[in-house]
Amino acid sequence: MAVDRDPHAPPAWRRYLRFWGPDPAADVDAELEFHLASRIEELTKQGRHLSEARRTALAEFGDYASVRREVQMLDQSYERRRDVIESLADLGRDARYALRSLRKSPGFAVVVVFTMSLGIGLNSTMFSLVNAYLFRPAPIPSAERLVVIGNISPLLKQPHEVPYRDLQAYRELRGVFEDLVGTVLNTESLDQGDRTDRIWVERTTGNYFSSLRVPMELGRGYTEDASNRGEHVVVLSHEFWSRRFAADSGVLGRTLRIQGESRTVIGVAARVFHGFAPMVQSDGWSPIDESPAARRQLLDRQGDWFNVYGVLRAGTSVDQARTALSERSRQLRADFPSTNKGVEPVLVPETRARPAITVAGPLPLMAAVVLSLTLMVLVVSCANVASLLLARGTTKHREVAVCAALGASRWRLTRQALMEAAILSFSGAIGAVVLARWSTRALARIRLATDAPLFFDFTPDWRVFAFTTAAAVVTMLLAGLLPALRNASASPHAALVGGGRSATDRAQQRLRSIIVVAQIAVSAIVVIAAGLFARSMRAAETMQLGFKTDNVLMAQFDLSLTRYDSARTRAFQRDVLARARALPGVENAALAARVPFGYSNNAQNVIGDRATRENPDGQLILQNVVSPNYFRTAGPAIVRGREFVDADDASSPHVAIVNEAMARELWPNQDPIGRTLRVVDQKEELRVVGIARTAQYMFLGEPPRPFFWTALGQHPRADAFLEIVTSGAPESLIPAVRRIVRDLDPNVPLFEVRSMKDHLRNGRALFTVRLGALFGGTFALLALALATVGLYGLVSYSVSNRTREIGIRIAIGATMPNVVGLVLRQGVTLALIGVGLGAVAALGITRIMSSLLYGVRSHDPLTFVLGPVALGVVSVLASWFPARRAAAMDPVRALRVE
Amino acid sequence: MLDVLQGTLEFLILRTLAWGPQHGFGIAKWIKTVTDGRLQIEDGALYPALHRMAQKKLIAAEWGVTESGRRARYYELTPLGREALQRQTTAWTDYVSAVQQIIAASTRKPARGRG
Repeated sequence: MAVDRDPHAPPAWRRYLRFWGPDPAADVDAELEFHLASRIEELTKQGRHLSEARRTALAEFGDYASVRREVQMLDQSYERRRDVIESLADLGRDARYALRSLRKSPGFAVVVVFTMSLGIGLNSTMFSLVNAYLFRPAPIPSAERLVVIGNISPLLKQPHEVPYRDLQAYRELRGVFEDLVGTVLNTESLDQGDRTDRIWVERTTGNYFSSLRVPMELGRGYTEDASNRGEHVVVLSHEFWSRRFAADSGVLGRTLRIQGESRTVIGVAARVFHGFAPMVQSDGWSPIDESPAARRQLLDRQGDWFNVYGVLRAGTSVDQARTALSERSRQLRADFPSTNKGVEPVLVPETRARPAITVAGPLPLMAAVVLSLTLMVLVVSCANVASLLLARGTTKHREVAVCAALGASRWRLTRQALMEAAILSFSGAIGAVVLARWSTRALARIRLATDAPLFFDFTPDWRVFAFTTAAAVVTMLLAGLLPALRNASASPHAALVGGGRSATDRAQQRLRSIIVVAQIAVSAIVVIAAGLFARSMRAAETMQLGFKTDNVLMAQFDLSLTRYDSARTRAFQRDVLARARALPGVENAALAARVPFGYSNNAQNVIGDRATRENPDGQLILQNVVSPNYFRTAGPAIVRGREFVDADDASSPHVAIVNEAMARELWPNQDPIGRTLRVVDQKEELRVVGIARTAQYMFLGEPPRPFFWTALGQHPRADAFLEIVTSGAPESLIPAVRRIVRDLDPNVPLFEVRSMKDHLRNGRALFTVRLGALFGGTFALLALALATVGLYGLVSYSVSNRTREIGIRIAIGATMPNVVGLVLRQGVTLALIGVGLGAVAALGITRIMSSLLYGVRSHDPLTFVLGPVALGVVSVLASWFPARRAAAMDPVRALRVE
Repeated sequence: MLDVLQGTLEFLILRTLAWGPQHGFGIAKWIKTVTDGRLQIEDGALYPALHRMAQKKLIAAEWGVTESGRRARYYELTPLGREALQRQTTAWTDYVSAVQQIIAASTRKPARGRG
């Protein structure tokens, strides 16, 4: 019928789309055409001519094309609205259905949610840590352009702070940096009238607040004008201001007695800003004196070291900045050979230099290894959940089959299974967040053995939430998709006829076996990695560091806090030593400016007597200032020559003791005893009187580092550690040591009072190693437990599936050991395959960890034997219980089971 | 001949369907017959109204077969539509009687004076 068709009408074939669903456009055509056809028929029956009838009908109808368009549009928009509403309703129905069916098996739901919470929660926790150290930007604007600069000297072999002169030279690179700031964390005295406290103050270049654009709570930061005029001002940290001044805004303008000078409080930094001292919450900030005279001194001296931070100009890449910097440093090497020989600058984005550029080296690798291990634990827990869901799929087999038989589409069945997994993993994610909050708080309470106000903030931010969400989604897909797809392929016929024991069932059993094997393999990797960490910790704890670590007590006191002059300082130090030596149970005592593996180090530019004007071997070398008896008390052994004695005082020729590594560097193949060296900026020559064995000073397992000692009597200083060697437990002498100092002067506070063992174990030296072992151990236990549960579940399930078979076997005379063996064989075979695969994979994977390990190789045979053995034992146990149950079965009852 | 307003058309459709399910052509025909063709509606105008009413769930549509064996879309009143019909019938009756009173009144002269 030739109706005046809309030229935009869809082609006729589109009607066939109706086979797959309603086509509103075609429906409208059919309806309107029916109307016209009926009217035409009516008119022709009345005797009208066909063509006239058609004309009349169309005229009566009105504008056919526009009516058609209007109705089609009406229907389409309605259809779209209805689709959205319907799919939401479907989702709601699925959710209700899933919740109802989960409520029917609460045990299953609880186990799944708990497993997921563990897996995801562990990951969120570890990610929170990694986030705090590697991802979270510094709390200043343009943090993404913030970089850290350090220097590397040939003998120190690792990044260290930058002297003022180099800092000023680098600051000239205005083409790449907006500006650079220098900061150094000092302990300073705060006079409170009746008592003196030690506070932690960052002394910075004057441009610190303006060029980093530090956010302020109150007042303002200081500017370069202040430091150029040598003004005495201080900005307080939010934490210090709240703690000491009860967050009173009246503190602005007040004067504090700090380091014996009056400093005016001009501002309070915002709560988010903690300063740039590594892991330390600074109490405040004060400018260094950069007035012309002081600046000249700073430029000449080499003893002032600064942590250097700077903001790159927008559009400048890190590489461009590095190029400019190394260009500038080449000039410095040419201009100042005695201090800058071989010195290279390093520049890294601030997030890659935490907690500080001087110690950040292995952190990213450590983070990667820890995160990989936690992800493996997540995989193991996903496997458990997948396995549980598969098993549940079988129990629900008949139900699903009935649904399928009644016409539920595959997509619908898949969706329902996925909805169940989604609800479970969502609940798991909530559990994970709770777990992560709890565990990050617990971790933040871990205290390092130091009196410095350390500061950890693992508060989750959006990155942690994004990570947790991603982990939950991955869990859902990993754990839910496989069972969901299997559900979809359920054949209703087989399930309803076969009563649940069918080929699909065997295929499913095989699938679960594969999952369990994978699970055990991944667990094996985690267990082996954890074993390596544990072995490394043992090795590190017993590592020979080259100095005395047992029965040593240390305590620090700083006589500049009590404003002692040099004579009083000398007298006080002498009295403390004498009284400490006289204590019962004390074998020896000495003073030292620094302790090994402490939080700060001294280094000096040293020129040996072989140096010539053409080849000035100025080198940065680590140094300590120690009293007589130091080496006998706690220090490394003297291999040749002598140690410092009381006669090495200001009136006698200056002397030094060097370690073997330094002797090799400065006087290769020569006897260093009697040779001289000089510290740049100091006029006295030091004559070498002894050689000490090379020890470790800064990092565990470090390469031999040159080191030298000078005598306290010739280089007096106000702050020192008292180190005493005891015959019994060193801690038992703490009260006696405190009493000695109190008796001498009750105003002298003691800091860092602890045994050397404690200092090493819970301090910088071993802390990360022990943390690694702790994390590794936790992961391994979790993975082991999860894999055991997985294996146990599978074996129990297959026993219950084989009830009839086992019953028949028992009935025809199988003995208990026969049945136990039968079941054990299944479990142990799977475990062996898994462990074997895991161990092989671990061989490859643990190689990456090798630089994080101390005293143990990444393919340590003991670990590779013990780890798998542990897994083997556990898997035998996991199969043993179901095996016993199977063997104890009553054959009569078993045979009655359908 | 009167122009039929949108709301009127809806009332007419509801009224027609009160007799039982009917297709669009049937509805048009019934309206013409009952009103002796005095209410002239373009047949085409019926269909957007029908579809709109179906979306408002006043009527329900279903494909069926006519006596002559053609496929046609039949409309039928829903409970909601039945309610609407009742409401609108009352409203129309009130309206018509009000208009009738006005017409009757206008044949007399309104009383003059200010009160």
